[in-house]
Order: sequence, then C-alpha cells, then structure tokens
Amino acid sequence: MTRIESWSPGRLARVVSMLFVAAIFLVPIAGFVAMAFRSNDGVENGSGGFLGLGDIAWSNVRYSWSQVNGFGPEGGLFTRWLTNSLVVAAGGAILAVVAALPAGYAMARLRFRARRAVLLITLVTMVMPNTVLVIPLFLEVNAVGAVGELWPVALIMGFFPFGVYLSYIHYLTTMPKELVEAARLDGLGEVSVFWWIGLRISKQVVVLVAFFAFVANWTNFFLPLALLSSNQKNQTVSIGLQQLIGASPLFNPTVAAGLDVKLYMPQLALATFISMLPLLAVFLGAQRFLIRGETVGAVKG
Amino acid sequence: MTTATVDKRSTSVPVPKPQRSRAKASRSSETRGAWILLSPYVVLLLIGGIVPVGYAIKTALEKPPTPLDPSTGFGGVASFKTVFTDYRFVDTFQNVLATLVIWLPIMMVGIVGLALLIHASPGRFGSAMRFVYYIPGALAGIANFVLWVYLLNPGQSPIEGFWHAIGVDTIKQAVAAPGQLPFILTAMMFFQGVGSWIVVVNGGLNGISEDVLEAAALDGANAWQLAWHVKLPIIRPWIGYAALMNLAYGFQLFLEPQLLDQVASNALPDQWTPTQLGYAFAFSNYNFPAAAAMSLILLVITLGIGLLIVFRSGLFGKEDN
Amino acid sequence: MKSPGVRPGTVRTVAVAAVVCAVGLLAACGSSGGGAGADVKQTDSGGAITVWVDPPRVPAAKAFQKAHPEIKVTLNQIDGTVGGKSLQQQFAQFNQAGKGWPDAIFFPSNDDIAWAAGAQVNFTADLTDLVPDVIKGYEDAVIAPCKIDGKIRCLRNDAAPDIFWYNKAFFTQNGYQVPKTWEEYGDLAVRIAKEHPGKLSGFTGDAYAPDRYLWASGCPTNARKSETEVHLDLTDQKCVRAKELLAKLVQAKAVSTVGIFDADAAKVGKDLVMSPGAAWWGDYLFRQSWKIPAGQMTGVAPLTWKGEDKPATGNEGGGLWGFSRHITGKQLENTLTFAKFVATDPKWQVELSTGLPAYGPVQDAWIAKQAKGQYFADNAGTFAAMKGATAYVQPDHSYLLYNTGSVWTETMAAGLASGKGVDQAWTGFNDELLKQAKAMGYTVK
Repeated sequence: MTRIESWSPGRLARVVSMLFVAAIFLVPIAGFVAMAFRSNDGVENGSGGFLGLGDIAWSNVRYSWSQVNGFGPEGGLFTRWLTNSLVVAAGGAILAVVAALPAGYAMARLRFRARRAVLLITLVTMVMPNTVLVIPLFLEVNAVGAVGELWPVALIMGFFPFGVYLSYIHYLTTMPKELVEAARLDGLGEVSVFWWIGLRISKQVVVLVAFFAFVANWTNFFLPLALLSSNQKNQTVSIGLQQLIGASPLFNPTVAAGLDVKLYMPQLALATFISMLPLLAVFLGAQRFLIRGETVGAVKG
Repeated sequence: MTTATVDKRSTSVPVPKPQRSRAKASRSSETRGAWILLSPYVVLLLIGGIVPVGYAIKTALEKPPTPLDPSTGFGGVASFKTVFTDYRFVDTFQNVLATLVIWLPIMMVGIVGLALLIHASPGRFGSAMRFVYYIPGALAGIANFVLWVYLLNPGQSPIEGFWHAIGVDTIKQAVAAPGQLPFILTAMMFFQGVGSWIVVVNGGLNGISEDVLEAAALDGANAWQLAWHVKLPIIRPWIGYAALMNLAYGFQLFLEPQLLDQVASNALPDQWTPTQLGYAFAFSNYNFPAAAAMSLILLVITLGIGLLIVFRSGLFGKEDN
Repeated sequence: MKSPGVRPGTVRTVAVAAVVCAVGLLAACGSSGGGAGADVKQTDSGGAITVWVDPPRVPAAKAFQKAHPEIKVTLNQIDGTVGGKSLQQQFAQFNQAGKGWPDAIFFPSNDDIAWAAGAQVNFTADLTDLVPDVIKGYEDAVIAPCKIDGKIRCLRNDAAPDIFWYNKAFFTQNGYQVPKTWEEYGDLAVRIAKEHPGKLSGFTGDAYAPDRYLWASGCPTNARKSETEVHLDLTDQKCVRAKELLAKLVQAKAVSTVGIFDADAAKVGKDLVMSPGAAWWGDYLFRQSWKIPAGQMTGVAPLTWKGEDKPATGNEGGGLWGFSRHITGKQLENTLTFAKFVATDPKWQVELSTGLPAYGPVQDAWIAKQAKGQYFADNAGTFAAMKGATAYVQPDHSYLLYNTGSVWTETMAAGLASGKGVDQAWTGFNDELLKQAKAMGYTVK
C-alpha cells in the first residue's frame, strides 16, 4: 500500500483490464446517445464513422423530436406521457418521504412492542422484487374501480420500504438517544420530539429517500402497465416507449406503414434519451447528498 | 455494517438509568407516539402490501367463471391446480433457472472481481472507474431495453461485426435462436445491474480496517493473495447478500422477455417467465383466481429468499438483539 | 412546545381505522368479482363517440371527422402490434368497471374478434339488424370471419385473399409455364431452385404462412364448432397434403425461412419468382418494401388442388371493425354512421385505404384508382384475380382465442429457420396448437 508504485506487471494488468471493462460499458452508451443525434439515412448508410459520431447534427434532433412528439392522433402523446410520469413519480416520492421519515424515526428511537415486527416486514418487503405483487395490486385497485387513474399508482408507489429503512438508519446514526431523552425531560411529547428535533436534522435523508423513490417510480414498468393500460391519456413514459417501439418500422412494418411519423432507431434513441433527462436532473440535484450517504444508500444498490 | 458502528457511538455516552415507574409511563407514551408516527406508513403498507396479498389469497380460492359456467364462488385449491398443471408452468421456471444458471455466476464473479479491482486502485482512478461502472445502472428498465435493441439489431449495431461473425443478420435471429435467450438476458441484466452492486460490495471492502490489510502486507502477501485470502473472506456476507438479492430478482423477470418478443416478430414464446404466465392468466384467460395463485407462488418463493437475506446478512441489525 | 393532547385511545383508534379500511377494501373487492359486461345497461352520451384505431387507420377516422363535422369524435390511437395483449387486458378491465369501452374500434389483429365477441368480454354489437344494407354489400366469404354463431359481430375493412403471384419477366425469359395447381407449383419450385439457385418460390417465416398454405388447403386448424369446441386435426388429409408440399419446397431450398415482414425479406424479396400471397402483397411488399421494378410481378387466380375443380386459397389479414353493444340512442346512431363510413365510403375505402375494399360496391372504384399506377406486368389481369379470389377463400376458418399464426412463428418458422425438417417442426406445431387450444378452454374434437 505504498503511495508511489512502479508499473509492475500486476498493476499494468489491473489498470488495463479495468479500462477494458470501462470501455465495454461506455462504448454502447456513447453510441446510443450519439444515435439520438443522428439521421436515419446516416444510420442506414453506415456513415459517420466510429459509433456514427460524424453523423451528429442538431437538425437531426429537431426532426426526430417532431416525429417522437408527433406520435398519436393529434400528436403530443409523448409530452403527455412525460407529464404523467412526473406526476406519479413525484407524487409517489413525496408520499414516500412523508411516510418514511416519522416511521424510520419511530423504529430507530422509540421502544414499542411491535417494533421488531414492523422492522422485519419493512426489511422483507424491501428486499423482495416489487413486481411479484403487481397482479394482486391490480386486483385491489380494480376492486375499488380505479384502474386507469393516476392516483392509485402514485399511492402504491408511496409504499417504499427502502425509504423507511434509509430513514431508520439515518436516525440511528444522527440522532443520539440522549438527545431524545433530553427533549423528553424538557416536557416534549414523542410526536413533538420528532417534529421539532427529528425533522431539523433530516435534510440528508429527505433528499436520499426522495431521490431513490423518484428513480424507482420513474423506471417502474410493470405497475403502470397493469394499472394504466386501459387509459390512453394516463400512461407513463416507460409504457409509452414500449408503444413507440411497437410502432417502429424496424419491428412492425405493417403498423408503421400507416403512421404519419416514422420512428427509426434515432427517434427511439432520442425518446429514450429525453426520458432519462429527469433522472439525470434529480441525480445532479441529489449528488452531494448521495456521496455522503453512499454506504447507507449502497445497501439497496 | 453501518448500523453496528453507529450503535457503538450512540451508546458510548453513559445514560443515567431512569426509575422503573417512570420507565413504564414513558413506555406507554412512547408506544402511543410510535404508532402516530408510524400511521402514514402503516396505511401505505396496508394498501401496497398487506391488503393485496390478503385479497390475492381470497381471489385464488375462488372459482373462475368460464364460458360454459359463468358462475363464481368458492373454488378451493382448484386455481392452484390449474396453475400447476398448465403446460407452461414448469417451462417458465425452467427458463428462469436456465437464465439464473448462466447469469448468477457471471454476475457474482463480475461484481466481486471488479469491486476487488477498484479496491486495489486507490485514489482518483479507482473512484473514476467505480463511477463509470455505475453509469449503465442509471439506464434502468425500459431505457436499458431500448439500448439493447440498439445493440442487438445487427442493422445498425456497433457490434455489427460480432453478429455477422456468428451468422446473425437480423434481431429476430439474434433473439429467437433456440437457447439464445438466457444469454441475451444475462447480458442485459449484467449490464444494468453490475454497477450498483459493485458500489455495494466496494462499500463492504472499504469497511475492512487498514490494520488488517497492512498486517497482511507486512507478512509478504502480494495483491492477489491479499484479495483472495484476506479481503474475500471478510466480505463474504456482502457477497451472499448480493447473490440472494439477484436470485430473487430472477423470478420476477418480465419486461425483457415480454418486449424482446415484440421486437422479434413474436418469434419467442409469449409466456416465457412465471410473471408473464401470471399476466396471461389474468388478461388473456380472464382467470383472475389462477393469476392470483401464480402471484402467491412467486410470493412464497421470493418471500423465502427475502427472509433468508434478512436473517443471514445482518440486515436485521445486531443492536436489535 | 408541548405535544398536542394525545389521548391513550388514539393509537387504538388509528389501528382500528386502518383495519376497518382494509376490511372495507376487501369487502368492496368481493362485490365486484363477477366481471361480465353482459348485464350492463346501455348508455347514451348524447351523440359524442369515441373511436379507437391503430396507426394505419387514423386517416379513416380523420376522413370521417372531415365528412361529419357535426359529430363529436374522440380519437384514440391504440398500440397496433399484431398479437399484442394490451387491448384484451383493457377490455377485461372495462368489463370489471362496467364502463370505459370505445364505441368503435379497429382490431389490430383479426384474432381479437374471438375474445371481443366471446362470452366473457362480449363487447361487439350484433350488427345483423343494425346495418343490414351494409352487410348485403359483402360477399359471404368476405364477411365470414365476422359471422359468429349466425350473427354479424364486426365489419370487414379490407379483403385480403391470396392470389398467385409470379414474376412474368423471369418466367418469359426462361420459358416457364405458370402453374395451375398446387402440385405443379411444387414441381416448378423444385425445378427453379435447381436451375436458378437462390431464386425463391415462397416464404415460411411469418405468421401469415399457415394462412397461405394450410388455410388454402382447408386444413382444420381453426374450425370453430362452438364457443368452447374446436375441430383441430393436423392428421387430416388436407393438412397432410399442405405439409408434403411444404416439405418438398423446404427440401429443395425453394422457399426462404424468413418472414415477409423481416428486415431480411427486402434483401431476398427481389429473388421471389412466384408464391401464393395476399392481394396487398403487390403494392405493399413488391412495390413499396422490396422495390421490385414495375412491369415484372403479376397476379393470377389462386391455384387448385389436384382432383378438385375450383381454386382454393387462404386469406392474410384484412382488418375488422367492431362496435360497442353497450350504447344506445344518439350515440349508437352516430356510431353506426361511423360504421357505414369506414366500411363503405369511397372517401376512405377508395381514396385512402391501401387494401382491396371488402365492401363489394366500392371495389371497382378502388381498382380503377390503383390500376393507374401501371405497376403490374398484367395490370388488368392482376386486379381481376384479386377481385375474383375472394370467392375461393376456404370456409371453416374462424379466428380463435389461440393465435395459429404466432404458434406457427414460434414452432414451425423457428424450427425451419434453425434447420429442422418439416416433419419435426410440424410435430412441435401440432403439440403447441393443441396445448394452447386447451389452455384457452377449448375442447378439441
């Protein structure tokens, strides 16, 4: 573990293999992002050289956007999907934060009989893949006649056990028991201790929970697929992208033949790229908190 | 791991023991406060977890209406029988297992190998590489899928040469050739998932104290021996945790096979995974009891794995005992 | 800074409320378990209608809006993926909810009519007495897919009978005779494959391939007997002769194992010298997709099986319109106006639609418009063959809850593409069909 290392064969092999893996990861993504800025003619002719980088032009983006957002009988479906995704992802994230903070605090700093049981349920639901429950959730939402509406999706997304676990860890680490005891001695009730002291020191965990919830909600596919398919106006962008693929002449020529917009690979890549921008935005916004809370956040992965 | 260190810190200051009666009073007020604070979460837990499971159990025990006999009512375990005897049932699990057999070892070797490499590279280079490996993980779900459509379609793929070399000219051939799907799913899920798990395991490696590593280095261990004999045994719980989480993930595969079928002109079986089969029970056969039964079967499997994770990985923190 | 007065009972109240809430939810679930749209009362919006179309049919709905500005139309574009499952899922949900159905819909796959008119979803109206004049305009064989248990449950948008296509320039150049029977077609295909390796006499890789060969032979893959019974027997002599023909073609490498819609088809499509194929192949495949020069391809009447006196052919697609049976009054009236428009009006059927109209009276006008393109080697003969072929489409073929085409692509097409023989792939096709028929609740006779 000395600071100055010579270029031993072992070190060389390590650096080379790490760079090799990095290239395997980055080249497809670079090519894909470049694809969003290319023209279909260029793609078909194979022009543009390495990854088609030479084919990039802003005019292509403008054309592709007109195609992507022209999808739908009157056009504009894509923006509608983005809005819907924003509503359910943000709504679900807000609910998750509102529920997770007090719950995490209660489990970390209050003693009550069902504490271990609630913690266990939280942990188990946290590590289970969430698609397992989608069909039962569909049956439940169907029973109250709310299939096709956005609010049940946001509500269900608000159930975010990982967020509860994060705030549980947060209060374990940042709020010493003595502080709680002291506040109690000052005559504060349990709820007030949380309200006046717990919330004060919760900025970090609010950002973390909101970030992870938003990302999970934004990329959720199966839940909106089962709950929102019946309402064309209320679909999210993840379901919408699937429709764009289905309407691409690359995979479905008969359908695409009658479509007034043409969705080839550059258009699909652009739509995907745009659908990732909100994630990029929240990532940049949450970045400094993420790095600080890395080990905690890492547990879920 | 985090919780353990924290606990040490928070209990290091001695607290005067409150008297017994006072403790009792505070107990009941604590309980009350706890439930008030928990109530929003409990409501969401009911809506998003408990009630659907209860309702699924109820639905699974009903009799589905059929064209011949449109009545409903109590059906006992008939819907489970429908599921177990469906000709696709065993196939879907075989498909998942076939995928897991290929994917899990590659995933684990990739995660551990890359995490060890990063840990052996202190400073800027290591953290830069960790960030790079994490990037594909940000392209989750459908975005990762579209990216793979781009890679798999020989027409414009950057790895066009590779596809032509193995005699594949269309995306349909790439996806629908017999036995190919598990490999493609492996590639897709590895690409998407490995980065965040590297961060997790790397977190475990960072928890190893410098003293241990220095002691080993003084004993003359080289980098390889250090990794194999010192680091690997220490992070074993993390590896187990990652393996189990990924195992559970395998049982819920839906998006990838469902959409690959769409881009391969329906050349793949429509119900390739258990989740797809459950979906088909619900929305192609209108057999909601069978769909609920299928969900419960998957629920039991993943619940089992989940409990294993919680109790074996130390997630259910030590400070609770 | 004192905690608001929380009484000891509060906790219990919250807990009880949560439980009550959960129980209430369960009870609500129980009450709506039935889920048949059958007993729902018909409603009237007062005139506004909702129309669902796949992307290629958007112009039809727009043409209607232009022709009938007095009718308020909500236009929804649906996922047009053939074999897609989402549509069926939506209708299951509408039935559970007892609302939400569109008033008119174009089904992306023809198989959709099986569930849309089936006992469980039971969405499409019986049109027999609602638009009798329109129905009279269809030839029996053309409207047959909509005739379910004696009732007309949908309207056909376009007819898609298979005719026999061949490359006239190639045939003249090499002195080949145009086959008249399926057997001659097989023999000639083998000969051409030997004399001109690489030239193709058909495609086996798409979901329409069983329609081209098995349906044309009258093979009972889709012979519906009732709601729950189907006659399915691939050992029938009519299936065997089609299988033997395919085996011969595959053996001689006279056919391509790709599907007509595959990206690859455009590359090999130029080498197609003859094949049975739908009327729409001419414009859509040969001219637009494969860009075969004008004056080469031409169509003639379908082939005849040896020992039979009339040509026999299948049908590839030809979309279906369905209309809601949950509406009444002005809403129903406007929906029927829409139905008449899309099925019969030249503003859509002649001016905009690319397929041969299913509705007989507008076929000639469509032919006159299409013939202006002067694309086919024998222009007049090709269009005459298209129009005449509708009568030769084999009967006893219904659209069912299992999709024969997708079973074909998963078993036969995939098997042949990976080098299996016809016999081996055929066994897989047979098994999968039987399994799916049973899984969908049919009794196989």
